[in-house]
Amino acid sequence: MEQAEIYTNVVRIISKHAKNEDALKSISTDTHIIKDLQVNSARLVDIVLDFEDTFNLEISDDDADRINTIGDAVKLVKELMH
Amino acid sequence: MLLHALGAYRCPDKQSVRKRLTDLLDAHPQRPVLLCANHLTMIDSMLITWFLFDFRTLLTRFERFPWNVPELQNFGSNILLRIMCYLGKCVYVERSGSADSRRMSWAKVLYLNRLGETICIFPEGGRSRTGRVDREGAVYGVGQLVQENPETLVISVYLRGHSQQQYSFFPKRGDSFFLDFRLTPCRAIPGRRGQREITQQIIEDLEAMEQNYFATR
Repeated sequence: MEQAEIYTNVVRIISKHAKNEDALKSISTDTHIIKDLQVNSARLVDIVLDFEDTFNLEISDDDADRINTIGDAVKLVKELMH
Repeated sequence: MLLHALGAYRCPDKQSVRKRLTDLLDAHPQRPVLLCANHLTMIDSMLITWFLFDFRTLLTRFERFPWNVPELQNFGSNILLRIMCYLGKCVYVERSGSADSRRMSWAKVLYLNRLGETICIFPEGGRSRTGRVDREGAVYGVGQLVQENPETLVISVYLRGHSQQQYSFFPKRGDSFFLDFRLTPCRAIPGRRGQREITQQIIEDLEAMEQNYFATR
């Protein structure tokens, strides 16, 4: 899967839980999932589970803790897929 | 007594609920207890303790006096609340704190659970903004705790003041409360997915008790 496709899927999954509509309009790899998009931290588990289902991979707790921005998520998924 | 003097809150079914709970706990000795309650006001945990356990039990069976897991932001800046939390068996958490901070809080909670203590926790993560059991707000730490110790007796508790429409800091002064509980037989499923499923089982029991409450009003 190409990076662009990973990015699109990551944004789609995270957007479902975003509370800040304005931040969604200007979303980028630097966008912070909790601080900018105001995703409830409890929903990070759902997001990680969605990543696992969508990209068919397993994410450890340590790896999940490293996800802060959209870019972090894309990078992690790319690493685990290859 | 303090609560009674402060707000004259009352629960007409208190004695029968206490009897049911005592019977349940006596039937499962040596098992740590996890009280999973809905959350509408800042003093829910105090009310739950006050309504579920008589004063004598709190003194003689101190392990039944529930530990609470409050968010630091909610009480850290208020000296009175800090004192009450110190006296009232609390392990604070910083929801927006570092992963290490959250891990440390959970390690304490797990330790207490393994000691056989009673812990009161709010699976909705905070006071429900909708005034009803908030499935969307559910946090899965409760599932993690059950996974870590499958011996845990999970009891879902539904508490609601009859005047309570939405969430608030305090219940309405003098309010009368509905109180019910259910033993939630959680299956300890492994992994992150299991944490979510266990939490959803508890949320479903809270929703069922809420539906009963509104159906009989």
